[in-house]
Amino acid sequence: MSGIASARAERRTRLAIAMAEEGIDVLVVAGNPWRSDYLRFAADITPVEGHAFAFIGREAPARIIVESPAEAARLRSEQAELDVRWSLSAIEETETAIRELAKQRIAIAPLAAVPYRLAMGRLVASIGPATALLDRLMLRKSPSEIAAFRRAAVLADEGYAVFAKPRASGGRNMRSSRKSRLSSVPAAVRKIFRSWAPAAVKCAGCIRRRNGASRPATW
Amino acid sequence: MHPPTERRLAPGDLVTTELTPCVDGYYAQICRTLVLGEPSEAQQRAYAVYDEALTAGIAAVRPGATAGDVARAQNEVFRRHGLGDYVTSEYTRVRGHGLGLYVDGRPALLEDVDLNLEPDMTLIVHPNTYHPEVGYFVHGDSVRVISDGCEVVTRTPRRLLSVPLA
Repeated sequence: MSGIASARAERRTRLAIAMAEEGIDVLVVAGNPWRSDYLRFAADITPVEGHAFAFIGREAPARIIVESPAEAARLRSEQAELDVRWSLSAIEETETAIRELAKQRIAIAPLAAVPYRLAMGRLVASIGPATALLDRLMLRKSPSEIAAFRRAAVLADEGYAVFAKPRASGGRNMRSSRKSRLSSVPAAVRKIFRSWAPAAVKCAGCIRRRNGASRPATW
Repeated sequence: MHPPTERRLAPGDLVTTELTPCVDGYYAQICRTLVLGEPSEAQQRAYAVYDEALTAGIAAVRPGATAGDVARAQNEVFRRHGLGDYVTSEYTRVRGHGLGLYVDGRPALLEDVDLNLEPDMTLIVHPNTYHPEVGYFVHGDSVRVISDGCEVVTRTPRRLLSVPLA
């Protein structure tokens, strides 16, 4: 199992255990491009545009609601098992989805990323807080997380050694290493970038039309 | 730290680096400062304060200590050297912070943060701040809290690096 997959599996297990201990059936995790670490912990997704919400059950794969088809396509390509939907009114859709889970015990996190409508709106009395639960899990790292942290530290040391050298030789080496980094972007990632282009164009069309749409949600 | 300008690097300039790579989603960080050319006596004196503060901060990282204890250990060094004003919010932000899936995570290392440290928390300890004589200085290492203290995971030697100008 790769480092990423191993860390993901450990996070998922720890989260399921913590949810069971706290009596949470479904955890709703919010995020956006500025604050995505809780979403990465809970569902291993990183939004780059708009709000994103993950519905985490104790057993089933996460259900995701995002705001654009490009985001939805990207997340599906990253994790085929995810149930990803998109809606221009993702907050409203999330509220509706929470309401449909009425008989289950729901909690939401993190306070730093939950939109006002969900944090303070009509459903607030029926949703429990889960920011502290996720904070506890995220502060203490699992063995796979520690291993990734160590690999990043090795890269920091190696990177600083590279950084310090070109200062002495006029910077030419610095430019070379930057060029080589760019050319080393994996082919799979370049393919994903290319695949976004048509979806992004479609999305732009949706947004241009949204003013005239009575209910622009598309599932 | 300052925005890019047309000014050319010159002997005696400090080059501050906060390098924060992310591997498999997890961040680590290293902070170092180097001098172009030979460091001045003032730069060496300043460096000694930051190194003493970093050493004190790292020594304070252990289970049961608070994030505030780690910040206080670093700040006390500056106060002893008559630099107490420069560890206030007027000149600097935090004395380190959590690392993980977020580059600037919890806990913030500030004197009023009472979160208890526990094994397997990961942090950067960095007494980065402005120095009135030589300018802004950064110096820090990534650490992991372990059962009897902490393990420093970045290995770059702690010294005031000096590199010649081309």
